[in-house]
Amino acid sequence: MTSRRQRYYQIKPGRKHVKTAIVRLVMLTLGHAFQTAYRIDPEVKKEVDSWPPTFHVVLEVEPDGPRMTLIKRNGALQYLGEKELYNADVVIVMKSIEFMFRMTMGMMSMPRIVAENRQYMKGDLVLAGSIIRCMNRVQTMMIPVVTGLYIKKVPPLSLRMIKNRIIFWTCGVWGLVK
Amino acid sequence: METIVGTSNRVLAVDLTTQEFEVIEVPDIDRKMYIGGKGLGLKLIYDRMDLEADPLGPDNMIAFMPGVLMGTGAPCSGRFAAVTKSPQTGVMASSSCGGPFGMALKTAGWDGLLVKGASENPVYLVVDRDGVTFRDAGDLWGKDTRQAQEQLAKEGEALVIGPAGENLVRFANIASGHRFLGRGGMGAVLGAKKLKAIVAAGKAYKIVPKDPESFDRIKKIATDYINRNPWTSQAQRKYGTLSIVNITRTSGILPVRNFQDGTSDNAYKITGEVISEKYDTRHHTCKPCTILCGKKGKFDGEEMPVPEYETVGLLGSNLDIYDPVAIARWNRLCGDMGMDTISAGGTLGWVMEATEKGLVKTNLKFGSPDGVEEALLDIAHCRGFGADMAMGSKGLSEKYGGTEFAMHVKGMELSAYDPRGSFGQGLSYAVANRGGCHLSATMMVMENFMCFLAPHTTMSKARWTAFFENMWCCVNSLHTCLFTSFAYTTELTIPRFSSWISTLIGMQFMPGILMAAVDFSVIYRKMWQAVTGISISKSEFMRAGERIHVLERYMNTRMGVTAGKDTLPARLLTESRRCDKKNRTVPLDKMIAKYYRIRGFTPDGRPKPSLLKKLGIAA
Amino acid sequence: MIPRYFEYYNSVRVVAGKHALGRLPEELLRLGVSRPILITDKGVVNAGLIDIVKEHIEGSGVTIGATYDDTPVDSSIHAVNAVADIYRETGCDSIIAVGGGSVIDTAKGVNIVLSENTDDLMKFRGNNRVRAVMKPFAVIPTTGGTGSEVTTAAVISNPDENIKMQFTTPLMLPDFTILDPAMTRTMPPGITAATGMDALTHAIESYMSIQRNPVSDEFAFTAIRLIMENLPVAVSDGANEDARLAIANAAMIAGVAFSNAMVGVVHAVAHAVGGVCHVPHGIANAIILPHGMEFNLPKVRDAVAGMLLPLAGPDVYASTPKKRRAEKAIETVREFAKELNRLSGLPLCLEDAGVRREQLDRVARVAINDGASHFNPIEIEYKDAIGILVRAYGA
Repeated sequence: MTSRRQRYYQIKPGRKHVKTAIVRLVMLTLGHAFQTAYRIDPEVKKEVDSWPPTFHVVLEVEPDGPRMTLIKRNGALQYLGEKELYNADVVIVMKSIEFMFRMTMGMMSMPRIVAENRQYMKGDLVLAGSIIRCMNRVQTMMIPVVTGLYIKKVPPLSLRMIKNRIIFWTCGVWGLVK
Repeated sequence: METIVGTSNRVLAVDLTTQEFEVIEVPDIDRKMYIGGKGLGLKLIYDRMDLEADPLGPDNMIAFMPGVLMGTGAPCSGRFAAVTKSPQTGVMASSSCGGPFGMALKTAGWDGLLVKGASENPVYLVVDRDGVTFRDAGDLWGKDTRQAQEQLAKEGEALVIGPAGENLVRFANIASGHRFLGRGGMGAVLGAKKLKAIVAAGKAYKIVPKDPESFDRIKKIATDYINRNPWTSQAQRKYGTLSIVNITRTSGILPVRNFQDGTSDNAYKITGEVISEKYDTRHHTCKPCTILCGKKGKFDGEEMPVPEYETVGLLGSNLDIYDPVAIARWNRLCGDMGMDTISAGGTLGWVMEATEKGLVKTNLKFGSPDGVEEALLDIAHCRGFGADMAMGSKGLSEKYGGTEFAMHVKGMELSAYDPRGSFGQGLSYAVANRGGCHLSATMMVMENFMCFLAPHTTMSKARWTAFFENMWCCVNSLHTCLFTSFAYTTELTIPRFSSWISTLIGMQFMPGILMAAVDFSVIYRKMWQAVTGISISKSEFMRAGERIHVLERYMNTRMGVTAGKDTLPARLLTESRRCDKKNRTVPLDKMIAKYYRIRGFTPDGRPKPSLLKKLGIAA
Repeated sequence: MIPRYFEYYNSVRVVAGKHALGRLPEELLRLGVSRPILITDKGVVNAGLIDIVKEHIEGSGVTIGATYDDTPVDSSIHAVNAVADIYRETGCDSIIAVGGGSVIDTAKGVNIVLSENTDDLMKFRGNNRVRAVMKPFAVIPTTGGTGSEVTTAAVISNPDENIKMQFTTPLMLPDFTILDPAMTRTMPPGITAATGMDALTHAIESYMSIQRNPVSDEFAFTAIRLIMENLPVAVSDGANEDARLAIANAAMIAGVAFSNAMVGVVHAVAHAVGGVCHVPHGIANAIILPHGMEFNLPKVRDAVAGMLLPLAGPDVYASTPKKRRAEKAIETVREFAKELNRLSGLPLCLEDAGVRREQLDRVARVAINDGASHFNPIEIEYKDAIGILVRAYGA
């Protein structure tokens, strides 16, 4: 019996600890960036204000990888870490940690991820466009030089954008702008 | 108009058997040790009552206690407490209400009203500045709470019971205006005493604080905090407590089908956001109030109070019904009949599941609104099977079987928060003094509303449960609205300027440091200090909260509560839910042992003699 | 061009040709069912198309368990639930949809409701939410433009909540589809032109999308060629069965292409024009198409240039210098639309289609939120959408 087991061995799903940790850190930053952008970027504010008064957005990695929960409520966009949500309004699901990692590293842009069907969405797809536009603004705010690796169309550099970047990387990244 | 500076320190004690009354003076030492409100009520009863007394007998006492802040114009202070031995649980119960009776009693010059004995015939009391008069209530008996209050309106602000209270329904409540002393079956206590109503003719005195300058200063800060805080100034003010539905349904703590599930796809229909838009809701609150969470709306063209969250949770999703109009109608019916909507919903939930399982025969079933209204009327009038349902889910399950899905703790039905999505709340239900009560430590607020604690761990839950129990005992003794704590604790300098994630780390990993570093009770304490003129330190104040909690616990243990009764329904401890991917049940034993240790209780759940001595409860 | 990565899926058995409907009973029996429910709408019944279906099942052992002909123009959740109830009551075992886009979408919704055994379609909004084994499902298109018979998406409106729910899952694909020219013979020239342009738009857009792949490209090429050659004939001579069949096939082929490669800016804007101003989808597509191609030109010049071959034929392709091919392709599309305008009165600008100028702002706002915009090679912003609309507004 034992020998048969050894001969026809089983392959268990391992874990990608390093990649998961990196994605987790990036998601934390991204969450705080959303929170900050709602306060300091008028375009993000305009988009988010057009959502219903209470709105739950989750970006998660299947099957139970890192998760980023954003809740719009009480007139603020709040980042709530890895809080599990049932019946969230919009859930953007990345099908595997590998591609989430590539996306965070700028090896694949979000449109590429969409085109290659590496993600899917649950819930109210009408607002998905709005969320993606916010995501573009937020990533522009976060990432200075290599923005083009992450999004389709890089907006021209403006003084406000530089100011926002400074605010974000000094205070916002710690979650202090809320 | 005469003025009372600080507190009058006079409590009116009424004996219904002899139809006499006396005045009790509250000494300053009791005031400092027990704050007022609930704490003082407990102390008065502890000193006077035979703890073995039958809750529905003449020996049981009930105390109505407006707090120190009542009448001073402090934000959200229009509330009063009632304390008695509950017929539902057989242990002490306290309840809080925002009706107009409290203000009338206070401005009639009384710091409290203690009722004992029992009358032969139905009576009602009229309280004024000179004392009390006993009137015959023959023509009031049998009327619902709205009719009775209309009839008594010219004599003052009334506190009345409905048919449910008269028929000794175990979860009958007491109404004042459109607010209720909801839980613990207080209506049945008055019903057993044949006391239909208490009317207070107020406006005899004006209440002014001892130190008006510092009071005004602290009041301004408090109001600013409330108007600045998003929870109080946006969520509660715009949508009332129904704003919680959106939190509980997404956190998976909304009871569905008698706690079989934790969320429902249809629950969006009963969220405050939807209801306030669809039914054109307006403010309809306690007075005075700064938060303005009470609401009324137009349901099918009829103006009705908007049900509170717990009502919607228990009479709605718990029965798998998501029709706001039906829920609002049942809510008003329960109010008219004088019944607690939480326990009524919990009981109906049990009946529906028992019907499904074939234990009882009724026409009630999950998801169908047919027959619910008749069932509620049957309960209130104890007709037919209604007489059994009037015993609550504990009585029912002991009679017909099915205790494992009777969702109660110590006989009191659980409120609309499923502890399998909020472990701390599970602990707080289990050890709550009055039974399955969500307001004892409100851990779900920390775990799921503000997300300052991870809901699915046991780490530091016992610490915070004990801490918030103490603190809320203080708040309920002041007496002010619990919702003010959203603002008064999170708008303080340190919590306000720290990020969510650092607060999370602080609360989760270093509760001791946080409790020492942040003076969470500062607003409450300073307010009390300014009104009474008695100085009190942070540790004395929190100690007073602990004293009140432990006194109540001590009384309960003498009424038969031991560690064995501090438990949750079997469903929560063994069954996992469909909505959870992993199996999740409440790991109660681990938390409870730790909780007893932190509290200074013996392993069988009694306060140690050394603790009682330290707190000055027993010599 | 081979992309770094692509996915292709199409599981529909296609039965196409003259008297193809004769195969209906046999195909149903092959799936092991014999009591289908027939979902259709009033227009199809009035045109007598149901009678054609009836003729073909006579003496075959297949019973139509129930016929539902109340499908509204916008497929709504109420119709879906009503059909599901009828299905359960009458003990049917499979679904046949006979009609245009809304009928087919309704039938897809019915299939979800029945297979998941639920009464709440809301739960399955979004991508790939359905998990159940689906009921046997056949589609007989009568408009020949939407390509819904081979697409993995359905849009169903919920009038109570005032929203449109989108569903996409490959499980929704029918088991087989029957393209019979008899079913499209009665279509008037105006609608033929509009649905034909709809199919052309599908093909062209799938060729410009970021999800395009070699398989879908081939389908798109064939569809474009068939439409360019046969649409004018089908519009001017409705009884020409060869042309009708070619257009029905082209629509199906374009459907396969775009359900795998997705569509872009033209559909995003056209959906919005349809939603806000109630312009028929085909007409909106026809008007927006050249402007959408122009908008995408900077990013996909090569692809547009490549399309000149099927659009205009090898002679024109060869005689056009390489640099001019993309512009020439757009011009060909414009000329083609103008020809159809002469033949059938197909509107050429939004003004003719009944859109008011003050509506453009709202249309643009809706357009940028449309799901189709994610697959466009260029990000669509508000000012881009309004630019396209303004250009498409006047002739």
